[in-house]
Amino acid sequence: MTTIFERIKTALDTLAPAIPYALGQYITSTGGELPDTFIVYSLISGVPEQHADNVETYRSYHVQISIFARAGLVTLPNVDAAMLVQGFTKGPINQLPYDNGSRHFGLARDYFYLEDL
Amino acid sequence: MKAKWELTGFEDYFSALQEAGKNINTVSREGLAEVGQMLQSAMVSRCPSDKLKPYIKIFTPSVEGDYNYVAVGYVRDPAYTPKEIAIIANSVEFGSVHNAPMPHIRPAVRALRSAVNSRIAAKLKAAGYVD
Repeated sequence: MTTIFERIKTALDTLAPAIPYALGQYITSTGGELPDTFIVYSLISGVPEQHADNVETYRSYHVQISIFARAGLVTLPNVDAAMLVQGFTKGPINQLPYDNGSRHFGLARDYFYLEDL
Repeated sequence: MKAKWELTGFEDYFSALQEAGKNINTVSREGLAEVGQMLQSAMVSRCPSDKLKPYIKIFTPSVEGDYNYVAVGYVRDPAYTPKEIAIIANSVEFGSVHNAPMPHIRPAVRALRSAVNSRIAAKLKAAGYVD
């Protein structure tokens, strides 16, 4: 069975041009510089939605894709299209505070996926 | 960030009840107050920071009109949430360049969505307002 993380990875692998991404937090080698644009994805929650005969039949996943970019938030990788192709639906969008240290702007996009078990 | 639970779509029903001399708003607000505590407990139990927990609050449910709601979480009001706490809470919930998200507001809402709706429905049913 395809895990939710595999689904996200598959979606992010289709981005063109390719954008570096990581699960949870983007970590560079010691002294390394963060990319100008990068993506971090996280699982927010995964809850059962339906049971039948004491067996779980549906589970919904809530995931967050955070896009960080030094150039601002006007032109961003088309994560929406990539995620929709993988069966996700779009959720809320939240702007993240500008990071004075790394000079990145941030945008958090939430997506939902309903898994038929 | 906070969760806001609204009871909407009852306009015609409210009108009929008002004509019948009943007041569903009181029961609705009591139900919202109860689920507010459920949500607050769920958020606090998932919060990874003892410093943040005291600021996960219930915004007093609405007290007039037919628009009934309760807001739970970090309420966007300096009287409830100091600016520095709001900044930290945002970074914890959504993550930042330097830290992974440690969500505790959104998972609580997702986990309790069904229970909250059931509790409100049970409250209205117990009061005899719905079948």
